[in-house]
Amino acid sequence: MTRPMQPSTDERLDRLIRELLTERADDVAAGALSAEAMVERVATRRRPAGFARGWVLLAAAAMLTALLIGGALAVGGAIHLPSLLLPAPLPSPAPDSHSAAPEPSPAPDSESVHRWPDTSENPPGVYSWNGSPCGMSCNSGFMHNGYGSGALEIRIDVVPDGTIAGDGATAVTIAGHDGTYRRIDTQDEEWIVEIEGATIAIRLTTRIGTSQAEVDEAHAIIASMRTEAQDNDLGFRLIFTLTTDDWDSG
Amino acid sequence: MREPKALARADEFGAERIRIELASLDAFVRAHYPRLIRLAGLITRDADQSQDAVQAALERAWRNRGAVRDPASLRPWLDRIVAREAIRQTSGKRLSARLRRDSQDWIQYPSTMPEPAEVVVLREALGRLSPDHRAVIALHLHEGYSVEETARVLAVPFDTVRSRLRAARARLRRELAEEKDQ
Repeated sequence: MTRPMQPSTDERLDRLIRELLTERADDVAAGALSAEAMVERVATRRRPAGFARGWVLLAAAAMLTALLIGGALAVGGAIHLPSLLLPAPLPSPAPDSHSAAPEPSPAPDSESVHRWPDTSENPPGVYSWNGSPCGMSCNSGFMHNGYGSGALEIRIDVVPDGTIAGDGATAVTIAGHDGTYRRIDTQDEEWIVEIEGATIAIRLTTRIGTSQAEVDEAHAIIASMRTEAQDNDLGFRLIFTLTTDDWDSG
Repeated sequence: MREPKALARADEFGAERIRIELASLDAFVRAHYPRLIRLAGLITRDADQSQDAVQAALERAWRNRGAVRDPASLRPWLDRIVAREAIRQTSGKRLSARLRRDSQDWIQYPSTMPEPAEVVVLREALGRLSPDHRAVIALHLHEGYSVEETARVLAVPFDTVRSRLRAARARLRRELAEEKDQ
């Protein structure tokens, strides 16, 4: 039972909020799907629209799960494994994390190229940046592994000529063009490349706690970059590949 | 015609593998679902959206379970996905009529006992916070994450979490003061 009180300090206010949140959380849990039903939904990746709670559906879910197990045992593996019961796909090996000269990859089919990643979940695939804003659904030029550790950011910007310091830069090939690479500090790396007269800066920021595998994945994204002629302000777009669904622009 | 012995053994192996995988998935979901559904519910205020957010998080975590090397990192990772998905589902055009109805349920959460006016006001004010602010409040005050940990879970800067907490507290305090003045 919530105690009557007049919050005069943050501490007392926080205590009252905690009590209210706990009450509400328990209420949510009491009215939510059972764990059994959630197991069934996760196993089959089913997302019912306008889910209706009730014993009928719970019974159906339980029966489906039982049939899944029983049927699999009965036919001795003759059915296909549910997609989530297959081995977890892991990111493909990335090039050396400190390699500043990425190897170009084959050109993708133009029809399969997505625009810049949305603010929500994005499937693995081929994406692009064309320097233009993309409305409310994405932040063009910015993405982070928000569905992973959230500790990595990649930014792509058009920068004025002469604003980039060349100290410590080494010559590399980036997006199929001659450019430079430099490590700014322990957290930031930068690639600069001139394409169609525009100076493009690609910056990778790595926060503390990032795993080497994640850094390798980010490097692989940058290494996959290539250009394709486009009828836009830049005259081209950058195309790159995301190998996991961790990246978004939110 | 009898199937070759080797093929029969392979089928038995496949069935056994499914059974083991399902048992593992069952244990995995049961271990995390109760806490995650509470967190999602505090952010979305909607049962269906909470369940969808939690399902998305569990699917992703199960699919990528092999990549989690440090068991301690699993909880904040799951919380991140749930919180982000819950915020996404609750914002903007996704605010459906059903959600608005459930928001009223949140605000007018029934109590079986008489409550002080401050409690009622605070409950209503919590229900009116934005999803972003509720996420910070839920992670920090309900899940027990520090401000720094909350920032990591939400993948936002430390100062953003601090300012959202400050703004949320200020709003709650203001609404309490207004109630007191009336």
